[in-house]
Amino acid sequence: MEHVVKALQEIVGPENVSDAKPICEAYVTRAIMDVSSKAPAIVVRPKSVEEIQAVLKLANEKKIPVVPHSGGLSGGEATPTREGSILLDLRRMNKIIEVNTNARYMVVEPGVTSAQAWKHMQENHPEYRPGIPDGAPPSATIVGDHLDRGFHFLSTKYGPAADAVLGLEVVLPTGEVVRTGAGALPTAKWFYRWMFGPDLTGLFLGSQGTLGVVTKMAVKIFPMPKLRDVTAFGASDWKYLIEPCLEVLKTESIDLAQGGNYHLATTRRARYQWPPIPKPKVLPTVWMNFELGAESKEELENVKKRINEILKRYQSQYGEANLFEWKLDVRNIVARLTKPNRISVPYAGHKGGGLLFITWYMPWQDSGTFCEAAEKLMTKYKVSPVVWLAAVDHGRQALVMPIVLFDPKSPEEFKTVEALDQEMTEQFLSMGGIPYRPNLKAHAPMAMSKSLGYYDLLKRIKLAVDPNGIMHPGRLRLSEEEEKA
Amino acid sequence: MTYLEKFKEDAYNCLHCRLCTFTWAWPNEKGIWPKGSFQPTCPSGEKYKFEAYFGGGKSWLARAVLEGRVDIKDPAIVDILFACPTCGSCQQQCTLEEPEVGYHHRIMSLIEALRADCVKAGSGLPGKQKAFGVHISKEHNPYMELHKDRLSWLPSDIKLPEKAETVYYVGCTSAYRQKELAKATVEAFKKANVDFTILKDEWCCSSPLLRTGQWETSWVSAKDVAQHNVNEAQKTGANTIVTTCSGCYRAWKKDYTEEYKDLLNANHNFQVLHTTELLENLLKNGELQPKSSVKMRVTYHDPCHLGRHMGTYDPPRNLLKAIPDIEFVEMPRTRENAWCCGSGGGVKSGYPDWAVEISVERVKEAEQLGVEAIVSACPFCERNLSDAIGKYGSKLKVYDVVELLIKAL
Repeated sequence: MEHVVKALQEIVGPENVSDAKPICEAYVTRAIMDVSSKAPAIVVRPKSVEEIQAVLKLANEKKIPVVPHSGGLSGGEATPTREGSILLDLRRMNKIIEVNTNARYMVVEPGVTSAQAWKHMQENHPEYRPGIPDGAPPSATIVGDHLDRGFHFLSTKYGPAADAVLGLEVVLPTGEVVRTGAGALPTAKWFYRWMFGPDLTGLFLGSQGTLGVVTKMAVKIFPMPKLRDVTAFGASDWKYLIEPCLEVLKTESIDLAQGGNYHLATTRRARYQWPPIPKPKVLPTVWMNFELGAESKEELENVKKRINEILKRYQSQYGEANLFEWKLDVRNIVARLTKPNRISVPYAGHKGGGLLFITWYMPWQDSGTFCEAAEKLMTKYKVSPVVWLAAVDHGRQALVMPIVLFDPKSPEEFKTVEALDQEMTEQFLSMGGIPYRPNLKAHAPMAMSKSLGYYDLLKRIKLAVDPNGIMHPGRLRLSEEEEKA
Repeated sequence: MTYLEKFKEDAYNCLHCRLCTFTWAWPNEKGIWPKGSFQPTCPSGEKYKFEAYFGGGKSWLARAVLEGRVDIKDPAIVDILFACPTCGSCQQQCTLEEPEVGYHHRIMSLIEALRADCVKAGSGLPGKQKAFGVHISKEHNPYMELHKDRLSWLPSDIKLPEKAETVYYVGCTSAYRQKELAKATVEAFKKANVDFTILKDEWCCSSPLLRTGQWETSWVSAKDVAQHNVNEAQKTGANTIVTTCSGCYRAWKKDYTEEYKDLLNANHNFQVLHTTELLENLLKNGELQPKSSVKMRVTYHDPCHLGRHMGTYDPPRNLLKAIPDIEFVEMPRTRENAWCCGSGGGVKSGYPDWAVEISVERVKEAEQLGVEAIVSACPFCERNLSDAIGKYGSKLKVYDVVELLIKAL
């Protein structure tokens, strides 16, 4: 590898390349989106598109795996699956290139964090806000979250973060630079996701770094409402929560709807107690928050009134003990409405540190069944049954996210996590769910093998774009070789 | 058994969320984030950029060491561990805590334990760090000065009793480098009629040794050093130790009695106060009355060892505000979010140029406020900020709070 290091140093400068073991090991993250994570052999910190082109050309020539890494907040998903990889740490590329408040988009480099984007908008264009993740720390990057189809704080209203992408600049594995969307034409602005032909922007979204390195991304920005508030439903069981919430979501007036079971709140302080602590009186068994935004008091009150009418209608059917308004105190409301939020990692606390999000998409009306199934399965594996639920695109889809907490010091607990994930994947696939960010061992192979022509097409695309298979090999299992492995 | 083993939980508790990489200052009532929020906070990470230099990266590196994938003797680990002023900002920003069981993620302890393992393995200690360790064992100070000169700053007309209620623990930096501060402190104590004395045979507080992993070596023993000081202080019959140096303050108040209690076996029952705490008490009791005008627009730099390490933020500010005509303004990165001056954790001796570089960033931050002076409450900060001003060619002046206060008494 010594000659490769030398060549890379010539491209990006010696201070931006390291093959030192302690440097490389510090990028490992066996948590968050995947517990499989290997240290890279070399870390490279490029500053420009040209440097990335040169690195990818070299890697192609030498057939060395390359893994792009912006904020690293996808954890195991953003680190190599193979020994001997080059990790591209993209944090030096952190410029906000353009903000257009008429066409309402911003163009950013991969190292721009949510915090940076939020503050930039607040200081320069306070009437608009970027779509930043809800529940990930503000160290998460705009590019990472949108590229990974993340859940941002307006996803209930506008869909997954990827839906807000209006165009990309990508360095392909072979070193060529392509632009997608209207930005593909040098004379056009980044105002439109489509060019002629199919949606090539979408090709890269969700690709988990397997098709190239995104060097610019145009994303929508959204109006900042004058007034905001939160209201919440509590229920004694999932079956009393889902349908009333769907009715609320169908009004298409909710900014963000997300909730979960009481373990979501109690497990932060009760880790590794088994069985889990009983439900505290102050918490409902399950709940759903609705974050609201409006331009006037009247508009806000009207939305609340509609929500309340739906609540009353279902209360008469279910009884007030089974469905009720959960009165949040001011502190809770302020905490919910403060963006960016800091509530990202409350579960990785004392005596543990292991955390894996296993997230699934399904139609909203089925989400209660998935939540219940997740709780049962986690209980079977003696894992605290922490489940988070959120609505996407006005409840056309739901996200069910079992949050698996484990002790990373214990190899046995890693095995438990993997076994749980495997069984949950089998069950959830049979129930009609789809994995949100398919991980290496369970989701990708099982979901891919069942797809109707989708997997074959994806593999053909991968082969065409990345003939030597250098980009993040192992992710999505996009080659015959990986399938066999 | 390695020193790191004790902090295994902390190594594994890090999720790698990167919250440790920037400041967090909560928004105001209108939801506007202040200037000091989301700003660079880690001098080491900002300089060297690779993940290993940030707090989270160090936690995952510790895991690799514990799991045998990284050798503590790997030469590449030295800069990662030692090019860090252990300012504690990563730990401050980290949200891993369980107040109910008194737990907060201990990145700082983790770094110091890794350093001690590194030194134990015969590695580490860049620049002059080992040399000052050796010198502490011989002359009881890290400045290559002679022990016999330790009290050369003390004006000959000042006579101190053998026994007193309070010991003014001068510290090496004030004794050998910032002598004006030592004089000003004595003057302030005299004016306020404080019943105090100075140790006849004061040694280094041991903080430089603890911070650089020189815990139990063949050339110096942090335990011997700490125990000597406690024994000397006990001879005076005092009940209170007062320090002007924030590093000494942490050593006496936290390292001797909590953090390194087992290692040092130098536990004591003294009340430990920083000079600013004692003077603030005197101010509140009316025993100290700043009357003379000091017309100056100033800002305050929080020393890491006083602020983030010990949670003391208000006494120095209250003293400044009590000085007639002082105009006091805060820097954007202040209190818990203060940018480090760069001198601590062995950086001044291990990486002297970079230490000043860190301080230049702080000086520039202060300059933007249009102030005449940057005030601190630690001679080590004062010294490094002065070096930065000299190198950068700034017109700012640097004072310790006590030095300004004395002008008003």
